[in-house]
Amino acid sequence: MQRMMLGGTAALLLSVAWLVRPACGAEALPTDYELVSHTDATLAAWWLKPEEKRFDEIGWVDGLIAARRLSAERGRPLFLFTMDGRVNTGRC
Amino acid sequence: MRTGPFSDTRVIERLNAYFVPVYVVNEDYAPDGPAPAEEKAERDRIYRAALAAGMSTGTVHVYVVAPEGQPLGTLHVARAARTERLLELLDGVVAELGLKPGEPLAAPRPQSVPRGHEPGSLVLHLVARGLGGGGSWDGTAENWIVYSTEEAALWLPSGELAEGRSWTIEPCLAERLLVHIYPVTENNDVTKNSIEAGELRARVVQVGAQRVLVRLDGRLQMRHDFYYQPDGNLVETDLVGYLEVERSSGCLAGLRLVTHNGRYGGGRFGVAIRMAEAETLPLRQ
Repeated sequence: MQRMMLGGTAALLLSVAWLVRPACGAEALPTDYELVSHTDATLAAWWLKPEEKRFDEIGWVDGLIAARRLSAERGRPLFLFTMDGRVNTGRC
Repeated sequence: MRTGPFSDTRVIERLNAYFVPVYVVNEDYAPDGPAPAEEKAERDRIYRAALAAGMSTGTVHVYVVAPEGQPLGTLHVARAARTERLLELLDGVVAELGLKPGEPLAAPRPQSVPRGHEPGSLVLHLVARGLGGGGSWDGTAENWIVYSTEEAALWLPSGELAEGRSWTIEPCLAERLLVHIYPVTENNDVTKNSIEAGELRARVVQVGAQRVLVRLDGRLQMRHDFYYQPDGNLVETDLVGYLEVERSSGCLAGLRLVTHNGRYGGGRFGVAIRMAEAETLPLRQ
């Protein structure tokens, strides 16, 4: 009888675990103890890498008129990139 | 382009040494856009001159223009995105004009910075990237979300931050952040994002001698179209992170938040958000 009850309890626990488990392939949320290390590690992994900020190594001129003026004064051709959205943030 | 040809050493060197590089945002140059009329007129002049010269033209395009103002070459973005094709255009112009290399005419500087804001504002920097499976372009995307001093104060409740105390971040403040949580897509008009379910909750988990640690948990389900046509795609993710509050002043000293199990368009994505570490120049986003 006791064995059956234990078996029933185990089955109930398994059922509850099944219900509260993360979706297929999903990871469980960090505990409070893991909160800072998990957040910091994830942020570090996803944050911009130096090689993803090389756009900033180009000496972009602010504004088309200013660029045209510099181009005429210094005898250098203008390189104009026109786009929808903002290429400087990648939201384009 | 940002993480493609514009991150290639050869392209960077050529643009800095031989050209005057500039980019313009079409939305700013639309008839009702904020760009000055003189700027809009010059962009239109270059477009028409290229068209008259029989060159390819478009709104998402590269134009190389002589110092005297006439177009020397153009490339549609689909071609310009191929680094070798872009180099071919640049090298052709350098050879044709017999250009000599020089120093950049404008000092390189960070191009992604928050809009102007008052001291004491809460400035959040967001980075998004795809994590595989589709639903995102390659590369990364950034946003800056700025809360005024008064709005920043609303992230924390009044009174003592005792362990276990919990609250919900004001929905209007949370939503201003949540609408930017999506991968790298073509559509970036956040006014078209529709939050079906979204919230950020806070709970004090540790009260230290110097700082209070507040856990952030959230959930987001948001309609976001990859392109500009409705496609039924949903952003679905949990959020987790923390706030750090200085005990002595009650000021917010840190904020970090990341997506958890983020999914969109059949793929996975990640968004990381942190409080900007230092004031940056009020330039443009």
